[in-house]
Amino acid sequence: MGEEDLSRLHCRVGELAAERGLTLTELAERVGISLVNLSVLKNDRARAIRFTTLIALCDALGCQPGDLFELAEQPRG
Amino acid sequence: MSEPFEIRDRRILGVATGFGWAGVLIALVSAGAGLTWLFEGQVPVQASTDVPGHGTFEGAVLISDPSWVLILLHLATVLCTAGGMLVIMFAVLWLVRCARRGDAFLPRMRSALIAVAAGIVVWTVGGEMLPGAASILAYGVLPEGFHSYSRITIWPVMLIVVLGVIAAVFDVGARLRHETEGLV
Repeated sequence: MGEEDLSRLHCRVGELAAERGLTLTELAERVGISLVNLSVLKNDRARAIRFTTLIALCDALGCQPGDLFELAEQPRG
Repeated sequence: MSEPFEIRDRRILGVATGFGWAGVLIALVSAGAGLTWLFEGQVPVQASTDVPGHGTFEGAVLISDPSWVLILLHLATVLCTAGGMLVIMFAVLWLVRCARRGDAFLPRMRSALIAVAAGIVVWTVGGEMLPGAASILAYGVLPEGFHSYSRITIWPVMLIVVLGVIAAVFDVGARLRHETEGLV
């Protein structure tokens, strides 16, 4: 899979945290990952996510894995 | 935030840095000393002599008014020995610099190991093969009782094999690093 394909995947962790009134620092503490890594995830710069991180994020945000990500339409042509 | 590597690693890297710069200094000083002989119109040639009842002794014999071939061989010996050592030491210092920054398994590290292997080859040519060739060529001008002396060593070959294995391990590490980059 090429690098450009990854840009289609958007992580909604920032929006979900904001909806729940959580700052990224608070969320990072609850999830148990560094603020740097959480920012990487929020800014769609992550290339992969551990299942443990995914589960911890879902627990902290009270959501399902599917709520965390959205995939943009594949460009035509 | 904790240090990217442990105190033990830092000590090893500190020793390696000292070793690297000491090696650079030794290479430059030995090259300077080797070239000094040329200005005095002499070249040292390795030779051996038999002392009855005591055994064979190996050392260097100074040849005055040497032929051009001996001068060129001596010059090549000095340059290869110093050059090989400098390449090895600078490659080691570069690896240490990467490790200090917490950068491990960079694809370029393989190139540094290849440079070390090349340095060992050049160093061996300068330190073992060329002096042996010079000794054989100087046979006719050696003082009475002295013989040509050359030796064959296999440790550089063994070292290069070990470096090859380490380079392969580094390749695996570089691939793992690439696969886990951006993993959260």
